[in-house]
Amino acid sequence: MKTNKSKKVRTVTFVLVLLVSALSAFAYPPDNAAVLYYKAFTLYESPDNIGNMLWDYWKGKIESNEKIEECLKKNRRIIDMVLDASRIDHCDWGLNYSQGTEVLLPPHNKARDIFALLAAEARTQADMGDYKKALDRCISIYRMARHLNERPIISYLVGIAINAANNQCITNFLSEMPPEAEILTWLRSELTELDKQPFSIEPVLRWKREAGIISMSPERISDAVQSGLDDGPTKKKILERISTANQQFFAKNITYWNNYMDNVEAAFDLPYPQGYAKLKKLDEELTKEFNKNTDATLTTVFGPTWQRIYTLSIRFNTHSNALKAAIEIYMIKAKTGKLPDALPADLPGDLFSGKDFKYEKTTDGFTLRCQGKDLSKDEIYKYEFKAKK
Amino acid sequence: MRSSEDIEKRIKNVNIVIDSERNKKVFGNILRAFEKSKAKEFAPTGPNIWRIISRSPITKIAAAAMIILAVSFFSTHRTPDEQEQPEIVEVKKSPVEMMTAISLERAFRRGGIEAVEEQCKQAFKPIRPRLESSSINQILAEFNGNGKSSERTRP
Repeated sequence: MKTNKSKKVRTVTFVLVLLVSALSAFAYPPDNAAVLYYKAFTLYESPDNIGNMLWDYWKGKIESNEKIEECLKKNRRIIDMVLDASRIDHCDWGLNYSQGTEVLLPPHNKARDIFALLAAEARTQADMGDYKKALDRCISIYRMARHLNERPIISYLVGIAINAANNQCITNFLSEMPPEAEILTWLRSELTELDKQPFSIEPVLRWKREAGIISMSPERISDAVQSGLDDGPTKKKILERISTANQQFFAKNITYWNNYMDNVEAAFDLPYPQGYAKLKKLDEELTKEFNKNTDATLTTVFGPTWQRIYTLSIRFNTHSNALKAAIEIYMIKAKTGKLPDALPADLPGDLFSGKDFKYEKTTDGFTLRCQGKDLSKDEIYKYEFKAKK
Repeated sequence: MRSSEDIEKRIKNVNIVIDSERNKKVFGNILRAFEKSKAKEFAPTGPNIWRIISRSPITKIAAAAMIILAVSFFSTHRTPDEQEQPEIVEVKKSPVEMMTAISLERAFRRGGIEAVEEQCKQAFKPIRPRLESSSINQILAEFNGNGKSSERTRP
């Protein structure tokens, strides 16, 4: 009797497990956001007849028109798919990191096209007066950018490009909308939530070191050099050195690379002027070393333009800080009916100088000006915000 | 005297190697000759060109040869082989090579994020236009992974 009973229980359990797994196999949305992104990237084709219209529209340079409306209507399912993807926590692009620097990346060119589509949709919501929905789309875009930011540098840079444009999109909405404390509080909490998974360069730096080491092997190095360098005397010289390389050559190059990456990571932790100067010095030293020290050969292949990447990261984070500071200023306006006379304390600051932004009231709003300059462009950034009276 | 059909047959049987450059040249000559002949036809004074052609055996052969060459020019340019064969684009790198992290980093160094996007676009762009009608063999070749090269899909 007992045996029969236990058999029945086992059968029922087995059927239940089968049912649950079958249901989860067909569940939507999937538990990996990348599945939906890949689908959206494959299906979305920016219409030929629309040119830069979506970009001009979300920036507020042009009004909506039939072509834009048609485009948004046709791609409704893609918009929804990306919004669904952005709400999923887990995102694995399925990159084979064991391939080192030769890892194949997803079609990132579609990411910015998709961004323009979402931003245009957000702009439509704003045009209809639903600023909360418009800002909610922007939060989804931030999440998408975080999903894009896998370990490779390019993924990080594409994410930065999308985030920077999205910052501008939010700035536009904040400048237009009547200051409502409820929406601003919600926006602030959403941004705080996002910061729990910060858009960071750290994984990029860690993986770059690892990828370089993987590719510094006799089997992989030739392909990496061919892909990574433009034709010229440097490439020729590197290929010559590789052709006569032995195990010791690779071991010494890996040691040099590790030391170099230690210095790069340390530079990224420094305040901007010092970090920039250190990366510049590292770059100059590497160029000199290459000619006289064969241990520096492969670092020349794998060391990207760190100065540029560093500046881009500081620029993006400074812009994000300006936006967070602006939300606090709008909040005061929403509560008191007027803009503050001075910058409130303890707001996120300018990362170029490590100081607070310079706050200035203007005829139609306010500006937040950096106190340090972007050394690569010799430029001081100023972020303008309008405020509805 | 041989009939003109006889002459045409003989010329057809001659093994003429036709290349597109030569065709264009010959066709250009024909057009020029035709334009000249038209101009002369409408000229109030001057000899009757058609009469000269019909009377002279050499010009008859030349005219027939020109007509055949012109016909062959059009026909070769209308065969599916020639018409549908796409240009063979010289691709220095395969899509796979273009989509590696290191290759895209190189693009970034060259021209920023725009250059990265352009390279991605190039990688995902079809190397050749898709044929409107493919033969069963071509389709099978593509399914078997042999369809990468336009050379291979040529009948």
